[in-house]
Amino acid sequence: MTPAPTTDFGGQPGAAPTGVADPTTTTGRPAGPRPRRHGPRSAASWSRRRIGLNLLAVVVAIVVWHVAALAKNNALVFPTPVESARALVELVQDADSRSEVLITLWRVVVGFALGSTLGIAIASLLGSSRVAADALEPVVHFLRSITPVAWIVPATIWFGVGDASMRFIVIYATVFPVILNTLTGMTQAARNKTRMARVFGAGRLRTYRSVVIPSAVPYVLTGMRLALGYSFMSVIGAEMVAGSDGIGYLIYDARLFFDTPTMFAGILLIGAAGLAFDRVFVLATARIFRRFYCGQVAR
Amino acid sequence: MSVSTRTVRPTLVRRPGGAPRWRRALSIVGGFVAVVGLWWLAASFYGMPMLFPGPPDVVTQFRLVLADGSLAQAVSASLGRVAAGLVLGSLLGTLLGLLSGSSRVLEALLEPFISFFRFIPPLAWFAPILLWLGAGEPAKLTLILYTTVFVVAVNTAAGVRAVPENKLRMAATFGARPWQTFLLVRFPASAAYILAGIRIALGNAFMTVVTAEMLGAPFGLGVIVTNGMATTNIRGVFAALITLGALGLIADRLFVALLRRFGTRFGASPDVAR
Repeated sequence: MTPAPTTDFGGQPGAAPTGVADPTTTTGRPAGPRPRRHGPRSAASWSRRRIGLNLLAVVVAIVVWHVAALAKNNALVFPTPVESARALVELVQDADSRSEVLITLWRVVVGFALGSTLGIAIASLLGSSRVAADALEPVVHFLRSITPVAWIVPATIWFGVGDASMRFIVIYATVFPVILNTLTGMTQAARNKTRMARVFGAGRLRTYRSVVIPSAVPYVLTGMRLALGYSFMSVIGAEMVAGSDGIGYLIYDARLFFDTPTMFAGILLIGAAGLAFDRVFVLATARIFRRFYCGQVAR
Repeated sequence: MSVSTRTVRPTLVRRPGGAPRWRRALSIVGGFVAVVGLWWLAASFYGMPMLFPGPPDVVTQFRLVLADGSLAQAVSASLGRVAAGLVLGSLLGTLLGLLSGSSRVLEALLEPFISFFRFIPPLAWFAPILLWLGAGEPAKLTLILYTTVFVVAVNTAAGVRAVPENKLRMAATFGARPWQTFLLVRFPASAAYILAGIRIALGNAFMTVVTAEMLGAPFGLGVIVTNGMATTNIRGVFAALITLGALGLIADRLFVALLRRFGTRFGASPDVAR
């Protein structure tokens, strides 16, 4: 079985870390790790080399950035990595701006939790009825096509400038990928499994509990992982346009004062925080929900 | 031994074709009607059409902007930006993905950037882009490029790596050279993945065009949305939002239809993500 297309960026509903066997891509190769094509190198040694290459790429990028910034020689337009790092350290050391960072992270956590819960709840309702799913899936797709950033204006008018409208934006960004992936997961339970459950006399509820929900779990988690990325994206947007605190506001504020190094520090901070959250989410869920992946690697 | 004659209702097992076409269409229409009804209720409950317009207000607004041609102008400007960014981003993304997918070393080199930039929204680049490229079309194009290129690259790389081993073996057996294997086996086999990536990129482009137009543009749907804050023309904002959603949805469906028509040769299955 080949891995499903990686869809780290978008809310493609069909994407999941694990999927139903796709008959068109079966190779006839026995299951298990891919045969080595580059000589007898152990997997452990390759993963060490990979980390080395990752680091190398980062170092090279920083050096290129530094040289480019020195060539530009204008910290207002293009600060060097050193200047940006200094701004980053200042940002984290200063108690005020540190609280801004924490505010943003808290918004992400709250919005993500509420949005995911709502998404799973809505999808479970829709998924239990074919008619409801058929009727409302297009609506979900329609709403998903509207970027959360575009809702900032109506949201601030309805909820005022502040936390309520930002929570609305983050929930809006998270709820749709979770709905779509959960729906897909619920319809992707292998037919033979549901058949088997019926043969053993399981009723509708029991089939749900024992077959449909377990096989939907990886899809739900994929949806939540996407949603986590979206909540980072949308919270920054909301804070920049309609906020008065948070990392997004810091970046916006730095732009007004032409404090480009701080702007870069903010951007670096978002990337790093997002990456850290993503890793924690993946590792934690892979551990907690391991049994739902039946032998496959959750990535 | 008696055979149980109790009929089991086929609860969760679905026929491959799904419900009949007309029933599907009916339920889709029903869904939209229900949502519009809810919206109408909410708006009349809110009671301030200037701040939360209901469906009739928005229909009036649509008539207005359709008649004076401002909607058409905005749509064509935004669509042009989406198309240009998407084409450039897909080409670049496919190239990057083919490279990183065919070599583990290149993949490991690109990996950190892809996972890092994933969390930085285009809006965060707003200020640097403004400083470097100004507020013109190149800046807008760059923002859309930014949200399209990585998705396509990641998907393409996954596709190149997922080529069935037996196909490669066969090519090797028939004496294909590395470039032939690449061009005739790996590339076509990963087409499905590339197209899946472009489909996501399409959605991203429609989202980012709003952000890009915040940079300032003479026309565009994002311009209407952004200016709505200052002019409190919420009806206009609603009309623009609905147009954006509809365009995004139509473009997505169109892409899927094209896939179904032309992509099946490469094993691109649109049904994976309907």
